[in-house]
Amino acid sequence: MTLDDRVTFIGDIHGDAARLSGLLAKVADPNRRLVFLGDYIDHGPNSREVVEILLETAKRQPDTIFLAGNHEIGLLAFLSGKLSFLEYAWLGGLPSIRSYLRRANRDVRSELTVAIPSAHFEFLSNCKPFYETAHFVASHAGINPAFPDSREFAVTVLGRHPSLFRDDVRLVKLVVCGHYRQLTQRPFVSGCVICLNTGCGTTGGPATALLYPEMIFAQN
Amino acid sequence: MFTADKSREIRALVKPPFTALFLYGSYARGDAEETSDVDILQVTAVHTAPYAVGRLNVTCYTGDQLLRLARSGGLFARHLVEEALPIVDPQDLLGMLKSAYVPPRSYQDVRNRVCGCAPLLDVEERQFNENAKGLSALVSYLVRTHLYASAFDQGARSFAMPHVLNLLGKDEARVILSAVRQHNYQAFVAARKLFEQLTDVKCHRTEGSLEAFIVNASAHNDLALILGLRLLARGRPFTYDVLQELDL
Repeated sequence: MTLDDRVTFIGDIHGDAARLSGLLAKVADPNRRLVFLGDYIDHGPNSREVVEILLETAKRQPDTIFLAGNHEIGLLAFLSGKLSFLEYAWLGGLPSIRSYLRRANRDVRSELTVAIPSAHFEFLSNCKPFYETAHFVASHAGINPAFPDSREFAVTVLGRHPSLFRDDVRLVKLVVCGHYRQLTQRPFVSGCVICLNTGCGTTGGPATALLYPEMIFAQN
Repeated sequence: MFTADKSREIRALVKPPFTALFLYGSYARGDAEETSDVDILQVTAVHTAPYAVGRLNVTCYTGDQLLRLARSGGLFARHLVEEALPIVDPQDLLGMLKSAYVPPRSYQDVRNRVCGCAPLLDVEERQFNENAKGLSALVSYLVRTHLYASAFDQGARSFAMPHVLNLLGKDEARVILSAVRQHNYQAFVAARKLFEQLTDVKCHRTEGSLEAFIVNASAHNDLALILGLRLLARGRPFTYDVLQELDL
């Protein structure tokens, strides 16, 4: 049995360090591969702490997969000047900025660039756009059911594919994603799509994990 | 006088879709002046940005947002339940808002948040001229909100500004609030001085940029966050979700 036969997927965290820690304690198992589905930062109050926890997790379980979410890309784009302050604020980035800066003084972008530890910057930069096996494809935004073979960054990380949630969608592999906030605070589960964004860090919902292939969900 | 003709005229100008339409403000109270804007509330199914058509100022909210505001007793909800006139309201949303509305014990929290916005008004003439319309609207909004919050804590019965100013003994503010609509620096400075007198807070920003102030203020003052981002946006479409969640 390989690691990919037993996987623990973890949905959006959005700066809620307490819920992340609690969930990791619940599902801890060195014999399973951890796959995080992205959106670790923004909205919630403790983005810096969340990245610290993820870095510690990577040390403990080096085979962990960290996928990129649109919010990680948003922070990197703000730091590189591709996104304006206003655009990053719209995205929900102000709590992330505050988690790294005790106080902003003048040039927020420059001050943030200095304040973010290099290990955090590398972590954010190295998140993967998708992770795929013979049985499933995992990515933050899922895939586009109209073009199921496409794995373009714009599709799997930055895309928006509401048709994933239609009753008549048929896909060859199971798609495991986050991104699409489930207002019920319960994971979305259909025959070929599972979404684990249950509002952690945004609407006060829990962080959610899926133990695959057992199809057992855990929340904290 | 709000007539059937006026109602048809408004319906023709408003951009569909909507589930309900209300008139509020001075035209709803019947004390509008020649220069008054026509305040319209458009109820929509999804978040929609506010817009203006001629003299129509159209504010858009979802029904759920309005019910939340009513339950928390915000000033805007009070505005609606006390003054709004239905233009289109097939499901009696106004009745639901009136039933849900709970008046707060005090508007001190509103005044505190308004005071926390003082640094947004710390601009020199050159900066003012870059966004004269936005800064004039900002100082007017902050002064009016502070006046309303103070007046209702002292038993005011209406949002009519002459009544509010008379109750607070601030009749001289009427000229200042009227002048600020001309969007010139002198009028802005006079309104800012009035703001400082009302709040006893100096309009001074310690941060070296508006962005830095927004970052720091966003930790504890949602009003300063939203108004600061609006200033930065300078009239560009503003879609930040929390904009309409403010309980004011």
